[in-house]
Amino acid sequence: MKSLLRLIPYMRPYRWRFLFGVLFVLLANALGVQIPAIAGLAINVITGSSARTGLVSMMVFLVAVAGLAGCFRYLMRRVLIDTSRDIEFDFRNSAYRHLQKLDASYYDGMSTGDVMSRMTNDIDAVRMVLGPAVMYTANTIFVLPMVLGYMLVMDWQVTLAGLSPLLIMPVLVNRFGSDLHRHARGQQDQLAQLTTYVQESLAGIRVIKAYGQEESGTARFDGENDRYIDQSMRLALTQSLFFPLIRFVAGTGLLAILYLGARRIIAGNMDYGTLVSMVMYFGMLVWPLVAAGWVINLFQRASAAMDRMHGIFGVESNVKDRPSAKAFVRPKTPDIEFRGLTFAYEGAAEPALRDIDLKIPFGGSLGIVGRVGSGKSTIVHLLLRLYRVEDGTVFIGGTDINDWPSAELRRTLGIVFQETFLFSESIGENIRFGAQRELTDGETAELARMAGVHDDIAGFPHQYGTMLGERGINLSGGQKQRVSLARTLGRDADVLILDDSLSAVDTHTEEAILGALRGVMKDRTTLVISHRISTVALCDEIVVLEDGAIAQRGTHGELLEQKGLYAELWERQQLEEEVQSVETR
Amino acid sequence: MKRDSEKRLRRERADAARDHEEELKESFEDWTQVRRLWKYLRPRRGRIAVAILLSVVLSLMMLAPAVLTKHVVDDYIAGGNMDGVLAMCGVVFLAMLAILAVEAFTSYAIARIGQESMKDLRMDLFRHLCRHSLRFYDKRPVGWLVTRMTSDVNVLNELFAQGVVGIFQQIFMLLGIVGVLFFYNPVLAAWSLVLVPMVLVLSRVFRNAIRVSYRLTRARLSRLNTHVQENVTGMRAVQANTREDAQFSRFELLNDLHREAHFRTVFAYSVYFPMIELIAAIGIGLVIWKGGEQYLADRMTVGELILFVSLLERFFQPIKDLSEKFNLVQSAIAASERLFKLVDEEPAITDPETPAAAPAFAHSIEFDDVWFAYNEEDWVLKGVSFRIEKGQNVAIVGPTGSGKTTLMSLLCRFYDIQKGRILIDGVDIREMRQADLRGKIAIVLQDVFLFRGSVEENIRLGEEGISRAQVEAAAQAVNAAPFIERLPKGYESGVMERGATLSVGQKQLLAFARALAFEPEILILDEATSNIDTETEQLIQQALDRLTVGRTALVIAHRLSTIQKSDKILVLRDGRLAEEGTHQELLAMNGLYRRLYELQYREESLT
Repeated sequence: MKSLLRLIPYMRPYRWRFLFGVLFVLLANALGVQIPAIAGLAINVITGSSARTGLVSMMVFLVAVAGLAGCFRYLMRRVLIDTSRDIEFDFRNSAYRHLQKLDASYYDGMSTGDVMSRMTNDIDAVRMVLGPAVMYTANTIFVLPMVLGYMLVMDWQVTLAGLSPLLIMPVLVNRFGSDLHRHARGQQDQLAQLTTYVQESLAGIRVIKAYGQEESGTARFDGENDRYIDQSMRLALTQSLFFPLIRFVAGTGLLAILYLGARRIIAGNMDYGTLVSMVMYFGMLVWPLVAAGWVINLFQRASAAMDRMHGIFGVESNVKDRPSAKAFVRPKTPDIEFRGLTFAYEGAAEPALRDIDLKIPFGGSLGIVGRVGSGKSTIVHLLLRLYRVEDGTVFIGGTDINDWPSAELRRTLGIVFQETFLFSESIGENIRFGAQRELTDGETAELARMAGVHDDIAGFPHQYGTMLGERGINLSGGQKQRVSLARTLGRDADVLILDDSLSAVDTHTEEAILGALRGVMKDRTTLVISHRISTVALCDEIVVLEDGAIAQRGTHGELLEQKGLYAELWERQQLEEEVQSVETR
Repeated sequence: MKRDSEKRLRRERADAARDHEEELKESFEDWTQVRRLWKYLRPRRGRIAVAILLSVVLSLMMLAPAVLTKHVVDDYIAGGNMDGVLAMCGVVFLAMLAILAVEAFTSYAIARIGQESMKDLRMDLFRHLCRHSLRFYDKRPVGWLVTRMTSDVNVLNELFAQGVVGIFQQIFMLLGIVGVLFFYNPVLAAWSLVLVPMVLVLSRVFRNAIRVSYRLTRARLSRLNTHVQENVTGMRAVQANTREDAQFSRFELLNDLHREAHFRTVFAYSVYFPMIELIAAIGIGLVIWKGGEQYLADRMTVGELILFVSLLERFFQPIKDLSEKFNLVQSAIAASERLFKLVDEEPAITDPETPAAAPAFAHSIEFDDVWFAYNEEDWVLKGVSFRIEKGQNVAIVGPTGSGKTTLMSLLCRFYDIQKGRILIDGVDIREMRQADLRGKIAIVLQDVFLFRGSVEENIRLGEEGISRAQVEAAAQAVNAAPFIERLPKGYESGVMERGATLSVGQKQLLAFARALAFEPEILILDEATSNIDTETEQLIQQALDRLTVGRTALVIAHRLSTIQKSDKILVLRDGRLAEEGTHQELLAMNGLYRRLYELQYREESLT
């Protein structure tokens, strides 16, 4: 339940509306409790135990009171439920905001299905507690004392007898409450599992089909479904017992009132009207108590949901700005320096990088080549501060990378990833996606030209207005990489990082692109990572990484003379590039 | 940038407005789709009948205490018979015990029936989705399909669990109340029914209001979720481009539209519920007025008066519940329409009724004047013809977009061609069972897709017939074994969604192991080596050499060694087969291949 306290900051801006909403609940109930009294009085009037009044006027009075109560009920629902939607809106916004702040290590360890389930099911559970649960809780809190007050005045002994069975209610609620909580959570977790499974299977349908694994995939889905049923039925069993039991307990109370009331009437100590009023009042007690059970259920679910939301909100980005970052001034000409950097991923036995000493001056370029797992990508990850490095090891523009504010860091780095992600927008919008100022159509086309993708785009039906993704067309791997490059160029960042980002582009096109980039590279710091030597050959300095350490370094010419791994790779690749050319026009 | 943001926001607003229009236009009374749910309930019809019967009994039993009270008042209190009162209270107590037992049992039973039926539905959907060709998936975002499988199915479950059974219960409750009222006092009962038209009119107005807002809500929620899904998946791109604020303002708009749709619903409920309560109060007023007159005229007892007050109060509860159920019914209609539309969409590619026999691959693969377009008339392949003999290793070369990957997809029959034929051993692949066809082929795709699960599971893909030893042997053969064995739990090590924790090279090695483990007759490699550094690639090349011996292989190739060693090279250009032959033959032909080769060679020597 403690996890629900985290909602308080979201509720605070709406405190006046909550107050008014609750006031309306109070007024609606204050009027509502008059009705049994009026009905009882009417019965007494009819049976002659009270002074005669006009039946019609009693009816009109009763309807008028009910009508007024209805107005307040309208207001209470409008105010309280609308408020819960407002808070849901804020809450979802802030969850989204937080997701935007989380770094790669979070998304590496988290499935999209999980995040989605939190952003939908869990937020909804939270909303239920803020709206309906608040409304019914307020209702219960007001109805109980009012109704009890009336009943006690009418006949305190009968009232207490009727209430006595209800004393078991807290025990019931307590006993079932924790079960409900546990099972609700289990069910939600299993639903998330199921969702993720479907999501993954459909995303990988090509592989499943290619290998004819539709059957085994379906069998696994069957298993996931069975586990979901098991969890759901555990919850259903608890619920099936809980609510009928509450009703039963309430029924015994009513029975006690009826029995004692009958005795009183026979003894001449009570009239029919009072009995009717008391029975109606007791009826008014039952629903709030049942609602209390339901509300408890809502609270359990919301609490489970908040625990899961904490899986988003509770995650701090690994990399937070230091207080000193506030006084930060962005260097005009940032260079990059690694000083004796050794880095190991969490839980890894071997360091991914060791003793890296590198310097890329502003306007200069560094190429990094190496085998799979040699640590090339780790260098990019560290520059992006996806993982934490020790102080005094990585510097940009002379400032320790840990002292950079992350917003400034991102603004300074323009990176093209190997695995591209484009949005379901038009191509033009995708290219302009990262620009730090408004770009004209001409500038957009110029970027595409530099990235060697303008001709492709010009051939599309709507050119730069062509939609990508679900509402549009699919680009080839190479086209995606080039659009992604254009997008990064549009950022006009001081540092340009190409992380194997032309791997799906043929060498001929790549060469043209690199040629076009030369002008751009002059006034920024460039880091090129590639498995292809041709990509890095023109860099001012090239290092060869092996097992996380620098094995060779120098210019292309120097490295060729060294007759090491680089020269070997070069020979092999030169042969290959001759062939590559076959594919190019 | 600002212009784009505004454009996007405008587009979202336009979409939202269109949603609204569509919701207003659509007909909502389409029960036919919901009726099809019966298929899933039918296998459990015996249990459903029992559950409904029990709910009906339950609803009548719930009237018992009120009726018994009437008799306590008229027969025993009036006669001063305290023993009789006690006896009746005993009867009521027993009735309540029975209600407790029946209610608990029924609600559990209904929950189970619902869950089981919905599982069947989900399984059916899943199987159906598996049968669709890739054309189907190209058009639909995965998130949308996932929502159908989970949220929509759950809505239907709710309709069943709370709706269908509840509706029976409430209708019988209504009938029971009306019956009891007429039995005891037809005149007053008739007066009470004056209220029914009022309730019906009110409920109708309410229903009309709620149905539009309900669908609107769902449409907007779906847009919201699609946005979140895409942005979560592409969060790295958002962050690297510092686009958080722009994406957020878009999200906020969608979020706001979603909230606004909910406000409409809240308004409808806020009016409806108090109105129902008011009508109930009028009912009690009527009893006081007309009942009072009857009592005074000695045509009614106190007990009956009390009975009328307590039953009329309850009379509106079922009507109110039924209207609340309407919400459920609305969303269920919408959900089932979407679901069954999905089910009704026949897979574009199906197995023939009388499939050709599936003997082992014997002599050739042939493309005979193959024309293909993803979108009509936008031809990707324009009359491609070639023949590959069994055991040949064939390299396919050509610039990006020349149709190489498409060629591979077509051989696997992921898509059907528009013109021409693709033959294996002289048999059109459209005459084969898809399982037989794909059973011959293993394919390594450009983007390696890994599933959550262990490394071993990712190699076997759930295929029972592949032993652990075969998995290890395959991994060994493609040189994936060394890195797998270095993982914390070796072959049992977990792979995250999409293999997020593995490097690109490692993922590709796994994909090779996967392909090899299936011991295919035909091996398809789609630019698979392009992301692996030379060293690793060399190891793979060795492994593939060993494996392609005696095996037919089609490789979209970049590497000299692959191309030179291949028995045949197909040069694709702009969807046409420009040239074919061996490396030497093609050079000797002095055509396009040679020209390209020499052009590039000269450029290379210049630098």
